Amino acid sequence: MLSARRRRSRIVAGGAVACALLAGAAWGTADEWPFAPFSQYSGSAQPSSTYSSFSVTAIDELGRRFSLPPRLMGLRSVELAEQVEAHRTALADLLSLLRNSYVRLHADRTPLRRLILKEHVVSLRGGRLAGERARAIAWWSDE
Amino acid sequence: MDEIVNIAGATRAWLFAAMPRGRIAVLRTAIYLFVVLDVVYMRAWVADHGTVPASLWHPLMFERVLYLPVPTPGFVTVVKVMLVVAALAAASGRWPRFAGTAVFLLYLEWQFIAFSYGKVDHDRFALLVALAVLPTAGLARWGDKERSQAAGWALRLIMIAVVAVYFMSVIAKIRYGGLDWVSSATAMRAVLRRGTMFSDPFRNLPWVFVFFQYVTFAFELGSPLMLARGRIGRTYALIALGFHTMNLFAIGIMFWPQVVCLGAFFRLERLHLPAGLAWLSPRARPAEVEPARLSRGVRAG
Repeated sequence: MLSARRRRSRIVAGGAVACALLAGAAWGTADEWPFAPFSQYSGSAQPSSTYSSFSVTAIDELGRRFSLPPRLMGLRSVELAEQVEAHRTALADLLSLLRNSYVRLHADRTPLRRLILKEHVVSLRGGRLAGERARAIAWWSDE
Repeated sequence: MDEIVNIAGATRAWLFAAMPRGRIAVLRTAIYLFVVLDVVYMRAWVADHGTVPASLWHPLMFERVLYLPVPTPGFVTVVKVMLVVAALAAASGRWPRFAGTAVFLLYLEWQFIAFSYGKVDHDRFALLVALAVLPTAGLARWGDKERSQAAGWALRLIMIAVVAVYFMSVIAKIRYGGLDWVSSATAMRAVLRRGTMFSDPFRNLPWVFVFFQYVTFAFELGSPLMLARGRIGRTYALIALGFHTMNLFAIGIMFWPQVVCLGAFFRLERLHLPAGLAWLSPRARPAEVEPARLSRGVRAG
């Protein structure tokens, strides 16, 4: 049997976590994790709307052009999107930082000469896919 | 007044209802081995964050308050190695308090490293609660039917955390998406981004995804039923497993930590280690074993 003191301390600790969780759900932001709102897939995408995702294309010193998955630069796709939003006014600087990250992770690979950031815009109409288009929105070059 | 006292007493009895130590033992093995798998294989990308330039690091509130350091390759490697060693020690069931507490703190830091570059995932909450409470449950052995209040409280907290993840998700949907969420194109958008061979054929049938959203909303809203005693609770936990499997087929995502924690709802105490591996499971010291008659007052699980 747990003593009354041990039961009381468990109730207090559990109650404190529950209160923090409820407060986070009602008023918090992701910044307060682990007491953040559980917001994955909680947004309401309108049936007729557009949304964006991002990709990076690389050209190495041998002139080869290839798609560079965010993972090779130490980020997840969704983190790349968040970083793009956070660096909207300095996207070339962001690409330079991502290139540094790539070099640290893959020092053995052919150096990169150029990076191109692309925005892919997907359109929905009536809840159905209506179109996709991609455009380059930033460049980084070592020249 | 009497009613309030009665409700408080019933809540306390429910929270501390004795449950079998054997369930703790199995859950401990599963959860700590999952941590190893998660760190080394399933989310190995977390370690790559050590190479990302510090200017892309956006520390979360608790990292700022606790002055946690910027992840570097060396720091991330140290955390990773210590975490794996501690998790393997804890999975053995020995030193549950020391090894378990170390795993909780290191895994928390591991998640801070994971979530400080622009994206926070919410599928880790129940696992973190499990890691926080498992060290309090004392020694436990596979197949041990002996019930204890310490085991009961730990299991109850894990169950509540699992339910909270579902229920708080529906709260977030109402907060961010409003009641319109159920008829929105959120699931369609997820399928367009992460569709699978099972969900892609439905891209031209938006009503299928709207129906899926109604099901999700109803499932999450009804999730407290999982805490009901006996068959109702276990059936709802099975429905939860089905829900996660459906997500896996539709968008290729499985909320593994949540699935592992769902084990708290099932009679894992019926599982035994194969005879050759029995030595792996520690024996509870006599002083820690509660006489069955003392813990028969309230039964659960």
